[in-house]
Amino acid sequence: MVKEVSFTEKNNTLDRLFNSVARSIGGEPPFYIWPAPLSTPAECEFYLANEFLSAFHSALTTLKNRGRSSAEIAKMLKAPSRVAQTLWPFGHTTDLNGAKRQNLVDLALDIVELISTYRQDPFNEDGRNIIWNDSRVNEIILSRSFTKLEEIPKEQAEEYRNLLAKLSGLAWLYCELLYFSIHEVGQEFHGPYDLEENRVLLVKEYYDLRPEIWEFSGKLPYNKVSLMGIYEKVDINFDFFGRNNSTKPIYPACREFCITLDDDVECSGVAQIEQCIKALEEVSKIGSMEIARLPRLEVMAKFVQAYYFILKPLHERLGEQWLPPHQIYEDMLHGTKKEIVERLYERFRGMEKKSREESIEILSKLFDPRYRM
Amino acid sequence: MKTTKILLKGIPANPGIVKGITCVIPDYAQIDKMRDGYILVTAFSTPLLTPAIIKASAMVTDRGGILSHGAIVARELGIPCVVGTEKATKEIQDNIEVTVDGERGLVYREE
Repeated sequence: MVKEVSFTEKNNTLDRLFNSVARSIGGEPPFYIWPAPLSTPAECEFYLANEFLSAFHSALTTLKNRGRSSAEIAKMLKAPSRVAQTLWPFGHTTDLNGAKRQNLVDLALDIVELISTYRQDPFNEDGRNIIWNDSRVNEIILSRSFTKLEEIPKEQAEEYRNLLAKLSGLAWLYCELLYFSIHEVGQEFHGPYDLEENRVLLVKEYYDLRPEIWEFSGKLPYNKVSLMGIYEKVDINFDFFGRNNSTKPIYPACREFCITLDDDVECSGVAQIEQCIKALEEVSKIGSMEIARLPRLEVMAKFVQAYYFILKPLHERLGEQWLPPHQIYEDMLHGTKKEIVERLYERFRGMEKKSREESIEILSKLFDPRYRM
Repeated sequence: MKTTKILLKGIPANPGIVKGITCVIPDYAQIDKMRDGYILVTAFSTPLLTPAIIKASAMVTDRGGILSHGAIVARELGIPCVVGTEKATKEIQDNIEVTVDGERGLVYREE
């Protein structure tokens, strides 16, 4: 039996959602905060927002009408923080009429439902991104071979910690080359999962590292790299978008680790990890060169594609092509929406002079379709 | 006797002290200059600078705050970092030995 959700419950869910979104973004001057958009193609979000959200709503509705459950659709979308990225365009929609606004309200509720199939708390309000249950955590700990850094000579343990930091930092930067400011499209960091003796498990998964958006990405020998680490006294928190922040580097606190490639090969020796880093380094270099050569409009077009890449599995399931509609490129080329874009952009810039709490209040209304005109 | 001269003060973004040779890269066009273990001095960290960032033993930027791109990447990589110095690319010369103190947000030189 399908549980009916009351009007009040829906409103409460939307309040919590847009408050979480605003708290994740708000409070810092927009040009200094994370993420720092590559070549600042952030204005693209104004051009793609209406079309992208409409395409997402339409694909979801069709799949549901064909009997697909939320859990099945969420699985197609691969990870919760990737789904959360679809909330960014909510703050960039333009000229919505009543019907379109209602569609966005429905879509926002659907997004929460999709994220809920993964996360213990869809909003990550306690600063944790918990997507594995206890039995899954235990299974991982028992089935994987973790390298115990306390049981090897100090110098060697230090070398491993440096390699872990380099691999993770490089994979992070590489995801930004692929997906720009929405790099969580290729990253799911989750945890901290409580273990015995005040230790925690943190998992950093970098996936879809060879998207067809970029030719250079095909040169990487693996599509996914996962770094699972057991840490002691680590200070880390996650926001709604799955972005993590810590006050200091976490690797000095690493006690045990396990790296896997494509969920299969365990990569444990120094030489193996170095090889993994080298491959990433080489492809990143090629990628940086390729992107630096692109004219601004083409960079913007790639940014739009990064968004539509999220919806690709849904479109493919429906037998449709996934690439963005040509009209978005045309609008960007001719600056069709320039006036509206500038007006909306100014609203974000205006946040610079506000206090954190004021910004949060403004931002939550800016993203919430119940308030958007 | 050696004296310490503070060249710049910025926002401490990631702790640690590193002494090394500077490589000033104001933008992507000069990225090939970067050498392994050098201190990267740049205007604003972006992913396009990946090939340079990954070689750096420390990073100093003109712009950015504690939650800026450079700061977060430096914490991920575990390298000392000072951001928001406003004028690092103008005031720090290429190929000189400096010390980056990511704890106090200082860049200094022993003379």
